[in-house]
Amino acid sequence: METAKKEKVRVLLTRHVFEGHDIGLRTIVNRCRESGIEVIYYPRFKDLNEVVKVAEEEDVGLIGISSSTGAHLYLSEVLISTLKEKGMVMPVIVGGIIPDKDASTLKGLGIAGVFGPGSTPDEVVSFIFTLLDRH
Amino acid sequence: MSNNGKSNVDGLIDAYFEKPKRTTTWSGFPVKDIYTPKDIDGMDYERDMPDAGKYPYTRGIHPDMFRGRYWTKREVTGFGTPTDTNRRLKKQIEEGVSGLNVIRDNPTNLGIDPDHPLAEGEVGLVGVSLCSLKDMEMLTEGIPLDKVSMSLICASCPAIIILSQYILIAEQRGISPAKLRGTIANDPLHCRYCGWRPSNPIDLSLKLSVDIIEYCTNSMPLWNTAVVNSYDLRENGVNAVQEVAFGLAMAMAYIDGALKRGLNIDDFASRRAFYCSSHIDFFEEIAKLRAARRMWARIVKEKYGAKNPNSWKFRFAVHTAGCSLVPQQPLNNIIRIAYEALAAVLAGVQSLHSCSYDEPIALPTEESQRIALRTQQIIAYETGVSNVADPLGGSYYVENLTNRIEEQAARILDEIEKMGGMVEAMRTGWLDKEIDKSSLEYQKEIERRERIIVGVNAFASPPDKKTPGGVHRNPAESEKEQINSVKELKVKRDDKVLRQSIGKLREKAQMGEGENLFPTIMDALRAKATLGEIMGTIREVYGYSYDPLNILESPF
Repeated sequence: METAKKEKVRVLLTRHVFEGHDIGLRTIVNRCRESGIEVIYYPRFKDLNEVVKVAEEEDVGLIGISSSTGAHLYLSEVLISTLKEKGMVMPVIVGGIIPDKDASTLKGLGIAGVFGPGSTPDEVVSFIFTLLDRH
Repeated sequence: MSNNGKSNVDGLIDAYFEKPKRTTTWSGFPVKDIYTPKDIDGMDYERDMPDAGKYPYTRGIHPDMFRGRYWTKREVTGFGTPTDTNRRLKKQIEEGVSGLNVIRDNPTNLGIDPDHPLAEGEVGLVGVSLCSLKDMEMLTEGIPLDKVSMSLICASCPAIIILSQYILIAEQRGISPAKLRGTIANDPLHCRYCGWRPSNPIDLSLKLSVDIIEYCTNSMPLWNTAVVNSYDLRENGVNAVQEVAFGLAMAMAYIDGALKRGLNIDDFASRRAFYCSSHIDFFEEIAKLRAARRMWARIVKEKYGAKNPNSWKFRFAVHTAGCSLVPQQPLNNIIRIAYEALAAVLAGVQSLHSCSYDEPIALPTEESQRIALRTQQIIAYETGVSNVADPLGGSYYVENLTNRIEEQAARILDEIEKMGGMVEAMRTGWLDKEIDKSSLEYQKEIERRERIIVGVNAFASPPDKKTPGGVHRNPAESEKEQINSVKELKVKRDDKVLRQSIGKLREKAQMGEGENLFPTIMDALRAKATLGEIMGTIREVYGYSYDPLNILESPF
């Protein structure tokens, strides 16, 4: 039962074309896969329309964006509004170099989970499982 | 109750009897409890570790090391508009840096202008935006370019244009290129592994890289023409041995390129430098840098036949390991940085950037950057370690570790050579796999607590991430200002002059790989062409899209 349920969990993990750091995201991608999450790894999106399009085409249950440049507020705002415009309901999580005090701003924008520095890959994985089981 | 569920007293007793669990170095070398003369058996002083200043320079490249001159103290800086960064540079000068170190933003890195439709949100964000000659003028306003040592950090793509901007501004101020002292990060191979989308394919990247080497060789005797950045590879999770091997293999790929262009090894090898990490395993990092120095000297002399001793010298800058810093209890990072910087100095570094403690959280604040500089100054002026060259030379442990790192790195170099060199190792994806393997292992070791990181998997209370100096934010209006400034430039310039210069650039680029594009790029900059326009024009000639992001069409 457990495995059958896990197989359905499918997520899109991505980062912006300007994002210079990817080791964190690659680690998360690997850990998700090891945990049985199906990952569409889409490095280097050019704009957020592209992200939404891939999410729709690949029929994922969640979008995860990694940002280390300080662009997390900008990216999150545009992504959430793009999803709304399309009438899509899709949880979004954000990770990377994110100052603690931005976490509440991000949640206010509608970001489901924020994983700043110090978060562990396991935290991300269990968050995804909990969130997607609930959906 | 302590973390492991025992009473405080039990915890205390455990702590009293506790001994190190990990008896390997950070890169996995098993380490004995003591090293003796037997561990350096077979070493010959004159051959393997002679006085500093003597080939193969294991103990340092200068006979007197810091007695002759301290290492250059520089702190990487760049954010917002060129004026924002100029202000911070002046502040650094006031506080006692001995060199400058400027980093560009990501649109610049990619070779696109701030007014590119996809650049919004990123202009001036992680570095300074340098799109036109005017930007360079503002960046260096009030800074005596004939006196300072300037390091320009950028991806390979814009390097030739940024260096051209710098030379032109110096010329406008009556300073000849021959007087300019500094470094351009000119390392297109490593850029494929530092996460940025490599905007230029490898053939064009290598061509422009060799153009820089050729131009500087002929006109800029005080300038470092290329830096191999093994630091970024290390930050990606490879170990100390891999850092040495991959770095040297990349350097060899560039040398092969320059030799193919017809340059003589002794004409350019002495103006190359390396950009290395200094991670947290103190002795291993020192041994690593000593090993790299000895290996490079032998490679350049024996494999490439260089005759000039200056060509044999492994000259290197160190950036302390950003990836060793953690957000938990962030003030602890000051201590980590100090040890890493000290290791670099004990290893005989030429130029040092010590990280700021708040780097896992944001770009450094003015205050955190000051502490980073003060860390270097305390090492230089208070600890006394700079008085003696290679003070750890002759240590059974350090010499043994130096030998072991050299042996393993040489084995990896052989493997790469058998694959057909570094470019091949990259093309086939071998390097990617090696990097992923090492970085995943690193993460797992932390999770299994085989590596202890204080504040992360031990002593994790309090878990706070507060930085007393707050968090750096870019000035709110800077991005808009910079975008408007380039838009204005494009409207106001003389279109006819611009088009002529772009036409000329296209012609020269069509003349083939051997045609050095420096002079024509400078003419285009004088005609107020921008970074994106110059790069786009060259890209088209080489058969690639004008816009690396495939949005814009060439306006020419």
